[in-house]
Order: sequence, then structure tokens, then C-alpha cells
Amino acid sequence: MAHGLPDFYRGVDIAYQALSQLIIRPKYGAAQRLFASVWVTPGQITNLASVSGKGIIYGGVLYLDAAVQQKSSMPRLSVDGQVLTGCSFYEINTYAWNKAQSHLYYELKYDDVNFIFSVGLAYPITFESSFVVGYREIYEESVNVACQFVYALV
Amino acid sequence: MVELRGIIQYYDDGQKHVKLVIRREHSDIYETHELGLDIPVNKDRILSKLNRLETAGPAQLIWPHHIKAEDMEGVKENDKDIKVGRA
Repeated sequence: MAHGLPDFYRGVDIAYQALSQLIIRPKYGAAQRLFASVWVTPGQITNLASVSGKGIIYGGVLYLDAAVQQKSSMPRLSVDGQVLTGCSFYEINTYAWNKAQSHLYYELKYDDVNFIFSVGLAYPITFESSFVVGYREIYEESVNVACQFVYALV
Repeated sequence: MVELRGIIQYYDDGQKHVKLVIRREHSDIYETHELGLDIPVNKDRILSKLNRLETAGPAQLIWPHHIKAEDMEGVKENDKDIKVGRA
């Protein structure tokens, strides 16, 4: 280096160092699968899964095949302590948020006769400290709710 | 050196699973280790586990400030959901 200092004291300077290109490779972390299944508490919010850390959600689904009506219950997602969702299956269906990315949770299956409900998660969603997947049961019934997410911690 | 990168909690088969994601010195590979079943999450329990995971001499643990040792059962505030604007 002309100034008498080793090269590593100088910041990256493509012109100075005569580099033809600079490749920055973000640290993605390894993708991990998260599956959760639980009999939720009747009439309350039940958290199915929680991840503390920093990273990105690549996608996910939340679904249930219940024996009782659940259309007014709500899938939930909290990111960094903020609840991002507050819509029931009925509302998601009524407003036809059934295309990917149309809503944070978009409809995949809405069957209020056989009580099968499934929603997908719009992606990607980054989180700085945590995300929590939950379910708010409205009908005072315990039903089994499941979710599958793919995410990466960085 | 053991660096904590994440705490994972989820329900399956009627049990709450708690796992830790860590990284070791000079490695980009993340390791996942079971902390326990149906146990409350707290910092002491996690530190004890991290100490046991450190195999190279005295424990050097890194706990990033953004990772909170919170049990997911306690994360139920903000119950007032965002309501959908009616058309």
C-alpha cells in the first residue's frame, strides 16, 4: 500500500484495488422446518410455535380439520412482538383474499360445512427478534390446529 | 466458543418442545440441540445447556441481545387484534 499501511486497513474500494467485481454473499442461514400441532385452549389465544432470533420466514401454512365450526376463529402471527394479523377465516374468505401475497394469511381452503380451514403465509417476512404463530379460538371449543413453516436464522 | 442463534418452541404430540440453535467458533454450520420437553424457558436453563455444549475448555458463550429467553406461553399480550377495515 502506498501509504505504508497494510492493505487490510483500507476499506473496500473497487477502483483502488482494481477489482473487476465485488461479490457480496449475505449470510442466509440454513433453512429449517418447523411443524407444530396442538389442541388449542377453548375461547383463548394459543401459541403453536415460537422462534427467538433473527432471520426470515420463507413460507408456511396453518390448517385445521375440526369437528365443530371454526370460521370465525383467527390464525395469528406476531413478528418482533407485534401482532400482524387479526382476520378470521370468514373475513379472509368474504373479501376473497385467496391469492398468494394478497394478505398476510391468504386462503387455501375454506369449507364451513366440513369445518376444514387452511391458510398460507405471504412471504418472505423478516424478523429481528422473534416470530410467534398462534390461533385465537372463538367458539369455546378445543380443536386441533397445525402449522408448518420454513424459516432461516441468520 | 458457543454462540446462541435462536430459541425454538413448538407443540407436537401433546408436548412442548424447546430447542436451541447454536454456532461454534470458526464454523458457519448451525447446530440444533434439544433443551427439553414441557419445560419453561428461562435464561438460567439455557445458559446451563450452553455450558454443557462448550467442549473446548472454559465456556465462552455469546448471547446476542436480540434473543430473548421468553416462554411462548407468556407471549400473549396484544390480544386486541388488528381489525379488518369494513368495506
